[in-house]
Amino acid sequence: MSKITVFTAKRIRTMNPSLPLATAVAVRDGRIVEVGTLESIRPWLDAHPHSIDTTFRDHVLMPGFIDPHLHPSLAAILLPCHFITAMEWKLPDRTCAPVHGHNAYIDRLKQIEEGLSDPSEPLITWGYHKIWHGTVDRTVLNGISATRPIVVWQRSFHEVIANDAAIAWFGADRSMMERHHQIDLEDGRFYETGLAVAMGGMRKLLLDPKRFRRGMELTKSAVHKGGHTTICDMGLPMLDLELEWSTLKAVMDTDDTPFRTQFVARAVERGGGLGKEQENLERVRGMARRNTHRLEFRKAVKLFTDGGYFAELMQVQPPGFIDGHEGEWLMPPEVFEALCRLYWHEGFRIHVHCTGDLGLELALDTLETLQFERPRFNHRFTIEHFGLSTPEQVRRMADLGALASVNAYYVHELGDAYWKRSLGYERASQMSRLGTLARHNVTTALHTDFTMAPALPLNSAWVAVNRVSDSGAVMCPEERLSVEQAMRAITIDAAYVLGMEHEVGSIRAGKKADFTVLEADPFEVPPMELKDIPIWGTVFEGAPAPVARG
Amino acid sequence: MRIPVTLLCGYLGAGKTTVINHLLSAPDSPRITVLVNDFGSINVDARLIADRGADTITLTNGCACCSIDDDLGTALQAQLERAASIARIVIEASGVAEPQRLARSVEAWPGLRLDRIATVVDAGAIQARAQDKFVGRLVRRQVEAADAIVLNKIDLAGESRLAETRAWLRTQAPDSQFIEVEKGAVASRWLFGAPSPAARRTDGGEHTPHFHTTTVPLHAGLELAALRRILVQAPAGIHRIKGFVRDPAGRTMLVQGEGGGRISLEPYDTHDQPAPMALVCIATDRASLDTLSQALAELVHAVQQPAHIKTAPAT
Repeated sequence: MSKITVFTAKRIRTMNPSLPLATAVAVRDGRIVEVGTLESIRPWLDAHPHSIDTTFRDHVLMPGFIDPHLHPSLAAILLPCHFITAMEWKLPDRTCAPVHGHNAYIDRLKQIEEGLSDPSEPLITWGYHKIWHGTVDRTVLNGISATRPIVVWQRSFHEVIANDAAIAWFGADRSMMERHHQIDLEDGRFYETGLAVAMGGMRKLLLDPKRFRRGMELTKSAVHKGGHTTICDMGLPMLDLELEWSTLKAVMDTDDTPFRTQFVARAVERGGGLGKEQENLERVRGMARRNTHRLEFRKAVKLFTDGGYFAELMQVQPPGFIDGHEGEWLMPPEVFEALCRLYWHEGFRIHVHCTGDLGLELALDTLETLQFERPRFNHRFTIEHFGLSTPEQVRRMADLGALASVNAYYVHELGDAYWKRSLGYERASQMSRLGTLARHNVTTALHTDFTMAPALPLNSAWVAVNRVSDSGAVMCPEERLSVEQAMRAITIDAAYVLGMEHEVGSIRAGKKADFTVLEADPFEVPPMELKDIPIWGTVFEGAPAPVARG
Repeated sequence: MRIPVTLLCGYLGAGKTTVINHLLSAPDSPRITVLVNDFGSINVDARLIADRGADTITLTNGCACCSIDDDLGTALQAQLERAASIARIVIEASGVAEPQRLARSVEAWPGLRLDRIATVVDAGAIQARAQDKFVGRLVRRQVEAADAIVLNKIDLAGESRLAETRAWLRTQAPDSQFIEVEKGAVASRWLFGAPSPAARRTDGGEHTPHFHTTTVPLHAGLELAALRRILVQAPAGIHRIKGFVRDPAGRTMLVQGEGGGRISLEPYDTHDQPAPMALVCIATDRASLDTLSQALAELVHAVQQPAHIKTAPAT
C-alpha cells in the first residue's frame, strides 16, 4: 500500500451534507481515506506513513465536476474548425471572443485566412448566425480568398456557405448543383438536402483519421480545462463505432488522461427497430467487453423521442409553434415503448432524449405503463435535455421516479430567439424548468451536450442560477436554481444520474480522490461571476493535473 | 429525364410492407426499385428472386428492393448511379415521416421527380390512430397529403366500421383517389403516374418557400399545340403542373410539367376510371398562378367559341 498524501486547502466543499466543509483530505491509492481537518484526520496520520501537500492552501476544492451528457466524437469533428461565434467560447487552445456585426465577422474571417500558412488548406469556420453576423455569401467569401476553399458552417449545423474554391473542392457535379433546389450557387448556399452535397465534399477532411485524432486531443483538453474528472458520452456510436472507439482508446485511455468516460450505448442501431430487439440487446450487452479502467460501458441505454432543440424539431403540445410548423418523432411511439419495455424488464438504466413537452409526455406515459407492468424502484429513468415541459409533467416525473439531466444553456442562447420567433415569452422563458424540478425533489443534473454548449460546468451552473439570456433578459426567475442546487447538479446529483454516486460526486472517505481545484469559492462569489471563477486544474484519482496556463 | 418517385406513406402497422411484397411480385411492375426501411421483412416468392445480397434483392422481372438503412440520401444516390436500368422508384417512408417534408426532399433531389404520394391506412385502425395524442396530427397529415389512399385490411374491419372510415376519409382527403384492398393487394397503376387533382398541400415549414396552388378545370377538347405553347411559356414562379385534359378527338392526355418549360403531354389509359379534367398548378407566388390561369381560361374560351356553332352532334 502506498503512502498517504494529505491535501490541505483554504476550503473544501465536500458536497456531502453530513460534513459540508473541510480543510484537509487524505488520499491513498487514488481513494479518499478521510476528509476533515489536519486535527480530525490525525489517527490515520499517526498510524500510516504520509506526506502533506500544501499546493492548494489558497484554493477551494470541490468534488471533480461531472458532465453526464456530451459527445466527444462531435467535438472531435468541430474543434479543429475555426470558431467565429456570437457567444464567447473558451476552447482548450484559444478563447473565442464574441463577434457581433457583419464587419467584425468579415474582419475576423480575413484575419484567420491571412494566418494560415498553407495556401491550399481549406478554411472551415463554425458559428455563423445571420441574426448576429448579417448576410455572408459566395461573393463576400470570394473577396476573402479566390483560391482557398472557405466554408462557413452555420451555428445550428443546418446550412453552409461556400466560396468558388470551396464549391470546386466539394467535387460535386456542377450541373447537378445548378439544378438542385436546395443549393443556391449564386449565393453559395447549401441547405437541407443540399447540405448533404456539401457535407459529402467536406467529409474527406472532417473524418480524416489524423484530423479526427487531433480533434479528440482538443476535446480531451477541453474536458480537462472545464474541471471535469468524469464525463459520459451519451449515445455511442455517433458516426462510426470502430473509428470512434480506436480514437477514444488512443486519446482518452492513456495514463495522463485526468478523467474517466462512461459510455451509454444507443438502444438501436441503423435500420433497427421492432423485430430486432434481441439482436440489439446482445449488441448493447456486448459493449461492456470493451471496458478499460478509464473507459466504461455500464448497464444503460440511450433512446430518443422527438427531434433536435436547436433545429426547432421538438414535438410541442398545443398551441405549438408560432409559425405552425411541426416537430418530428425520431421513432414511432410504439417502437419507443417496445424498446423501453425490453430494456426496462432487463433492468437497464434508460436515458431518453426528450426536447419538447410532447416528447416528454410520451416518455412519461411509457414510464407509467412500465411501472404498472413491473414496478421498479431506483431505476434512474432519466429525461435528457428537458427543453420544454409543464409543471404538471415535473410532478409526474417525481411520482414515477424519473430523473432529469438538463441542458440549461438553451435558456441563454435560445431564450431570446424562441421568445420572439418560435414560442412566445411564456413558454420560452420557462424552458429548462429547473426550479420546479428542485421544488419537487427530482434529482437533477446539468449537462452541456457539448458541442451544443461549451463544456464548462461552471458556465452551466451560471445559467441555471441566473437564467440570463444573451440579450441580458432574465428568463423566468422562478425557475432558477440556488447555488447549492446548481453545484449538486454538476457533482453528486450528476453522479447519481450516471449510477456512480457511491464512487464519485462528493468528497468523503472511500470515494475516488477526484477534485476540481478552484481559485474562488462558488458559494461566495456574486452569482453573476460563477462562470468566471478560474480553474487551477483537477486531481484525478489522487494525482494533481494542473491545466496548461496561457 | 428525371426518374419518377412514388412515396409510400402510412403509419406503423398500416401494411406498407405487404403492399411492397405484392408490388414486387406483380407481373405488371417491371424495373421498379423499391427502397425499404425494414429489409428483413421483405418476403417474395423465392422463384422470383434472381439474386439476394446483404441489402439488395434483384428479381427476375427486373425489379429490385434495397434497404434504406437509415440513410435515404445514400440509398437514393446509389440508385441514381444505375439510373439507366430503373423505370421508377418507390420509397417506403418511415412510419413517422412528415410526407410533405419528404416530398420536398424528393422534389429537390437532382435526377428525381415526385410522381405520387400514396398513403396506406389500416381500415380498422385509422380513425383511432388519427385521434392519438402523439401521432394523431402526423397521421392526419399523411392522409391529407395522399394522391391515392390505399384502404387496407378491409376484410378485417367489419362493414359498419368500414363505412364509417370511408366517410371520414372522404372528409379528410376529398380530392384523393381511394383504393380498397385486402392484404395489401393494390394494383400498381394506382401507385404510378396517374395524378389526382388533389393539390399537394404544403405545410409551409419554416425552411421552405410557401407554395400556392390552384386547380383549373378544363373540360373542353383542347388543341394540344396551343396548350403546350401556354405551358412552356408559363411564368417563372410556376413550380409544377399536373393533370388531365382531353384533346379534340376526345382522348385523355396526361399533362406533367416541372416549370422551366419542361412539359410532357402523353395519351393516358384511364383504365376505365373517371379521370378529372383539370390541371393542378403549383407556384411559389400568387401572381404566376393568376397569369397562367388567365392564359388557360383564354384558351378554353377560344375553343368554346367554335364549339358553339357546331352544337348539334352528328347522328
